[in-house]
Amino acid sequence: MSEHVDHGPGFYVKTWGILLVLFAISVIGPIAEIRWLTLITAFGVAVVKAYFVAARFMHLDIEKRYINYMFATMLLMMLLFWGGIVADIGAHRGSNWVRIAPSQVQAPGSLSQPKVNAMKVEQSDETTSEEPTIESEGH
Amino acid sequence: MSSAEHHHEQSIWEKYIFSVDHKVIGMQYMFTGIAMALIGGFFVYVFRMQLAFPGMSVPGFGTVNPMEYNSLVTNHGSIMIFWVAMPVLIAAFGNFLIPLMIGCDDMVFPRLNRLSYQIFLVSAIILIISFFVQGGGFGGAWTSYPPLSAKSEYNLTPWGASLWLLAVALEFVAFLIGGINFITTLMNSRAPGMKMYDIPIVCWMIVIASILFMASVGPLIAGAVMLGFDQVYSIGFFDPGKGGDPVLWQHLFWFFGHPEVYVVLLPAMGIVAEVITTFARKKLFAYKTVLFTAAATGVLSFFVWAHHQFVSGIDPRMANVFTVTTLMISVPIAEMLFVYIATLYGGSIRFTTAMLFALAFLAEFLIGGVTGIYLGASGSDIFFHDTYFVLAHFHYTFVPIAIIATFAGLYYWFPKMSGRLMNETLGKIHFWMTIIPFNFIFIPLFILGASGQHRRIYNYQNFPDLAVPELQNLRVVATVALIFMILGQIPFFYNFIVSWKKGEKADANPWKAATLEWAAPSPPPHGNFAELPNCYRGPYEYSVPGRDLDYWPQNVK
Amino acid sequence: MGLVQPIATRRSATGIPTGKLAVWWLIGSEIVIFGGVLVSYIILRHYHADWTEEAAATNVWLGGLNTFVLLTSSLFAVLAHYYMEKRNDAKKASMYLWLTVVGALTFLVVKSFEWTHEIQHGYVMTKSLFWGFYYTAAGIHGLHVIAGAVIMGIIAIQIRQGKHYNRVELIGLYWHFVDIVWIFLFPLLYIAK
Repeated sequence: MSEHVDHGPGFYVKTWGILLVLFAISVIGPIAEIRWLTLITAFGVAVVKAYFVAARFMHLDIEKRYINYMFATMLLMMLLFWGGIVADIGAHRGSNWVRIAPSQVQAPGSLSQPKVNAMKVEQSDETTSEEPTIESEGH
Repeated sequence: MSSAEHHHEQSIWEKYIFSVDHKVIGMQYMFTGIAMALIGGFFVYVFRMQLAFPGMSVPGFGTVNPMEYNSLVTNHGSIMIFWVAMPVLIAAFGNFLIPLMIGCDDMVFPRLNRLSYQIFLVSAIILIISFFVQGGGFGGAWTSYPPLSAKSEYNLTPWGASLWLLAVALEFVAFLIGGINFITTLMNSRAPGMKMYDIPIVCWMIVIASILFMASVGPLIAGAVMLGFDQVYSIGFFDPGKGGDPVLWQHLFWFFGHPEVYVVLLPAMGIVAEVITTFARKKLFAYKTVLFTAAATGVLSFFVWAHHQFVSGIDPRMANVFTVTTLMISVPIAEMLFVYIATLYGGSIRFTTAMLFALAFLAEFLIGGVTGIYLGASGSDIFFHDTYFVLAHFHYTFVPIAIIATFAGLYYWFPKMSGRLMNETLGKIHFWMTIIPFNFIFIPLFILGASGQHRRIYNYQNFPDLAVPELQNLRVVATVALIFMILGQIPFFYNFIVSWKKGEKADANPWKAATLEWAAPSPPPHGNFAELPNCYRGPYEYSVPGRDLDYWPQNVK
Repeated sequence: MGLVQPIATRRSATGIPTGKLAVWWLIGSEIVIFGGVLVSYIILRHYHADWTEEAAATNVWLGGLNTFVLLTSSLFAVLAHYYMEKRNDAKKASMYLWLTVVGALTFLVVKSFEWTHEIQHGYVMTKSLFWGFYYTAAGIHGLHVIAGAVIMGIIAIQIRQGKHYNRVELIGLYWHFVDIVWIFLFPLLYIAK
């Protein structure tokens, strides 16, 4: 159990008060409609709120350190995941490619011109799926 | 003692079906895993027959049409990884061994343990049901890439695809719950006196594997939910036409998929460590090195995942990064193999069946490991990706992990589980009839892969370059070898079943091993130890100079 | 049913009680599950500038109200823990647990109004991938709220029967985690338009 800590209920109520103030900041921030300010108030405040809940309500500030390391590792995993995929999923263009969704292509014969089998797929799309027209020896 | 009375009153239901005893639950996982292996093995028999003798009716199945072929390969892969390797290596051995090896009476959460098995069983049943629904089982490969897996007009298995996904998701939940049990038990319930470095390596490995699993499976669970919505409601998480991205699925899958292979590798290496120390009568050469390189491998395994996606259109700058990390990860694993070989060096080797399988693990996994280098380098992977070279590589790693190491563990701990010894002669026949055919299956596949044979094709007669007799002969060789390997399992099953009831009786410690599970009776009763042991030394105190016996059990003062 | 608790469960080589250690690991695994959804969402949201139109339809006032509700319910949860552990007062602890459950129910009621309104105005999951993420992320979170509330109610009953006092802290930890997830969901779905 969380040992040698004698915070009375007042401590927790005060923390709750701090959380509410932070919450108010995060709601008021966007009203100014300055993008960087909104981001700081919304996400910066979220981080601070999370800290207060974790440290003071979950008593992570007095928990054994390796538990905190475990959580930090999980969060770092998420950062790693983000870092590994953002260049692919988050980019509109790379050094040799441009990403356009098929639905956004206007003219045929442009970048995402359908290749032969893509056309076939589109056609078989129109046939009902009750007859799988897989001529196995075809291609 | 109330637990003893409780024991006497237990019905068959309580004792075997709804048991909360970790040993029974371990056996439940074991038998379910073996049953699923039979199904997965049957599937590979069918599709390899189709590949070797295309168009001919396969005995026991009939002719194989292309959709069925896709389902067979998809479910073979999924079953072997999720319903055989993981339950047997982690849940079965972990459940059975961890409480015994750390000297306590059960897992810390017995009912949660039972729940995790039940969820696992449900997942297996759902998967089996998927084979019989309209359209048949899912055929989109175990990697389930959208849009094939997301759109039923492409995969033609609307029910099968969703049932497969549900089964996989439930299996993940079962292992998350089970993993929490293993981790907590190892951290907290050790015998008095058992310090961190006195824990047997296999226990460490199973727990590290559970941690790796836990840290990596989250994004895939998220992805599975998203894919499920794509399948049922066409939401479009992975549909570029709706703003999604199919490569996102690939990343979500492989962020888990790569650590997953180390999740199964580490327990296998742990089993091998136990077996070789006992049958070489030698301490593990460098316990801390093994432990820290296992942890390092685990950490590094999170940084390599996109080597599965080199040709998927990922950013080439990332491909550079992932090549470097992938080549780096071979180093700690090689280190562990060196440590094992050093453990054997100068030892007093006893070639029991378990030891033979453990040694075979080292040799075969080595081949698997070095062939991975060709695939980890993005340049050569451009040629090898999606060929049978990949397939041969991962079978040279997976079969040692899931099959060879499992047999080593089964032969080794069978006396503890059943109170009897398996027949050594039959064991050796089984060993040779497994290992020799195994190589004859997969070496041809390396050659076929290097010749350009791509994966997941139902009939190579349609590809003139690949239909040449030299290559087709190799396919036949592989299939015939597979038949021999399957037949070679008969001595094992006969041995296992008959010895369980009629084998030569075993005492508590037939192998004269030093770890704590051998201090319990064979088989251990409910509660494991009459008196819970204390731990006085490390787990591998063999051939200690100055002592009469060549082993010094952990619990003996 | 009477399971005899194994000796294993009472041991504590780490010094952390077994139940609490398990909850820490549970929360760790949940971080990566929610993390997977949220990282995917963040990247695609950034990529799709045109989602701003869709995102404008989320109701920041109801979202904010729910944030307030969850923060307050977290306070109740930690007070329940305080009264159970420091004052050994099962009655008060139970009362605070029930108040937390009320908070959970309030959250769900507000959410159901919010979603009903949105669905009636055509902002359904299939309208745009933004809404796909919106409902999925908030939905998974909502399932965790429901599960937490149910377990909390059961524990509130159990401690009045004089058993399982340690579980007050454990469910509290889980609840705080659910709160923290919402702390991040709120700006992601409601504010960052």
